Amino acid sequence: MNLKNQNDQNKAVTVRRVLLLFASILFIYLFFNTEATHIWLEDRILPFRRHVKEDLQHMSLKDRKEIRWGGSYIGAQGLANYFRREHIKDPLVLIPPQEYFTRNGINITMPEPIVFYYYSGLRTILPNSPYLYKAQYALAIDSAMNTDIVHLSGKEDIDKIVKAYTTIYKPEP
Amino acid sequence: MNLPALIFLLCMHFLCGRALLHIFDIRLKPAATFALAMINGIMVLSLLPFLLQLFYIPITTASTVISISACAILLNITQLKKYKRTDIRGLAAGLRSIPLYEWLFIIVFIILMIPSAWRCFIYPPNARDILSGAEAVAEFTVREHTMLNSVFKVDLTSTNNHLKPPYITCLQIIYKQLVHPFGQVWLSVFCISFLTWMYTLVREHLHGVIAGMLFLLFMTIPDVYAYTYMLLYDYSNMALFFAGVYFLLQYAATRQYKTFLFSCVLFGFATYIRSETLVFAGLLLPLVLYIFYKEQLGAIRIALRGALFLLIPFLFYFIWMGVFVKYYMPVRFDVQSQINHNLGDLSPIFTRLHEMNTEYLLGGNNIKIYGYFINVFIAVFIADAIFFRSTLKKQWMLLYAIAIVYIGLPVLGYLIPWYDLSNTTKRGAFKLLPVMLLYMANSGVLLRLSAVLQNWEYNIQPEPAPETVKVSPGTPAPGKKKKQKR
Repeated sequence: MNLKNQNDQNKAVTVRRVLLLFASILFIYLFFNTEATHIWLEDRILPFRRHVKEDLQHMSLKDRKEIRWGGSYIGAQGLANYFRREHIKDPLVLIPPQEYFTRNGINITMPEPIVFYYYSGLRTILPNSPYLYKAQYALAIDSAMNTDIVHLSGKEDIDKIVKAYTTIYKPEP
Repeated sequence: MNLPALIFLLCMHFLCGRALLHIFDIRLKPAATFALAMINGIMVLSLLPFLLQLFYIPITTASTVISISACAILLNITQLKKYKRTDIRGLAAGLRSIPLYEWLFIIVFIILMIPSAWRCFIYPPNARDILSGAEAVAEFTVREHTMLNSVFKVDLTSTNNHLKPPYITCLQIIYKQLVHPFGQVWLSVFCISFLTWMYTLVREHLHGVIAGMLFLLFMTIPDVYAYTYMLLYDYSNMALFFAGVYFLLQYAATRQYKTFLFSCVLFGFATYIRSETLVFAGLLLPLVLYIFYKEQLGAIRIALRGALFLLIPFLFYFIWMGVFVKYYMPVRFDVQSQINHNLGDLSPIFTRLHEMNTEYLLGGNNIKIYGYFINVFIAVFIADAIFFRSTLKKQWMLLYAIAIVYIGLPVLGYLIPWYDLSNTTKRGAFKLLPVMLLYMANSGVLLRLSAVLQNWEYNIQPEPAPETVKVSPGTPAPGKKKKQKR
């Protein structure tokens, strides 16, 4: 008799647990359909399968860095490669501040010197640096938005470039 | 990815962390022990490359492996006898006893963490604060075998991130040397361990369904989730700050001195991650002193222990800022210059408090950043205040911890002008969230709801609640006293 009661009790507990399971499923469904959670889910979790497929096609370290860091990494690498090709060892390059690109409507993110160095091993400085006059090269950009690397032979050259960095070629968008 | 090296590091994290728990006599359930051991192990190993640098030992792969192994052996040498097989058996038994509805939540939690772990593995770190500090220093340490490397020859006028404590730098060095060129895999280990521990805490008192719902709410906090794969200081700082608070409250309940010491070490680790945690530790001091007072300790012992509570985190701060940054770093840094010089004007505190509330915590972007979590906490708190006032009395220490973070953040913004609203304060508020979760796990409303569900699940008829009588030492048990009266 006791055994039968025990079995009945176990069955009741199982049935109630199944009901709790359904209640939990319902809660999870409703929760993920609330506005904020749904947006988050669609943004962060659901695209994961698609992202993995794409990621698996770009497994080299270089590809992964380029995907993650984008143009600023590719640009830094390009500049460093130029100096490598020209066999110029450890140059110090003057680069325009980010503000210059933003104000001229140029879609480039210029990494700050420490990040530039991390990306490429190339030492750069900004115009507001106390070491400005130690720069040996500069990244010059003309009104047609062509970039060039120029050799700096002295204070005058540097001042000229810094002045150019304050020029706005295009009206603000 | 070097899988054997990853397994080696996971074992070392566990062994170092478990030894630390043994040293401080911390006894928890098997899953919580495992998770907390991993967190502590990560913290212990994060000190090693820094210590090597302090003694001018080249940071090579060999020296890293030797120092990690030596650390694990030294920590465990006196603790070996304390390891028990019952821990593993308890873990297996615990897993077998999980009902189906709880597995549903656990599976959802695992599914949610898979994209996070994948992103940690597949992509290099990206946050500006990391690339312009810890990550750059770590990368060139691996190449040049010293933390005082060529990064410091670069123009650093645009950043001070290289001066932040070396927690991330050191872990990145270890993982870059041994596991993967991007490092960072440790972040997944840390986050999963922390979430596991938090879940065990929530589940301790609440029914599986309520615990699952509550924890789902916590796990899907958008900003916090993002930092489970975006390498930065705040997630780890939140976890260690919470651990410090939790074990301080454990000390208040158990009066085990070693638990208090463990809490101090955890606050030390939290300060090692973010220096300003020292301010929060300072704000917790009145609570600490009150706990000692209630323990009826003498004035001198209260003063000594209170000093110890601040001294241990301060040591972590001092070794970095007072020794390493001052005497080792090739660049100069003046802490004084970072502090607000107009301390007489208190208005920035109130402005920041107002901005915090309107833009992040209670309005503005709060749902986008913290999901529904803070709103649910407020609802539970109000329900407790109305229906279960005794909860507020019981959990006042947790509420105090929430209050000091809530007040401490604007105070930090006032003391340190670069402590901005949209980045530092917003992420600093993460520290509120696990404490809020622990409060809700002990909330009167949710405990009652859990009891109702539990009784329904097991078909138990609820007994009438006994009349509550405050039992003080020497007082007979309530039942006996009643009989004597009759």
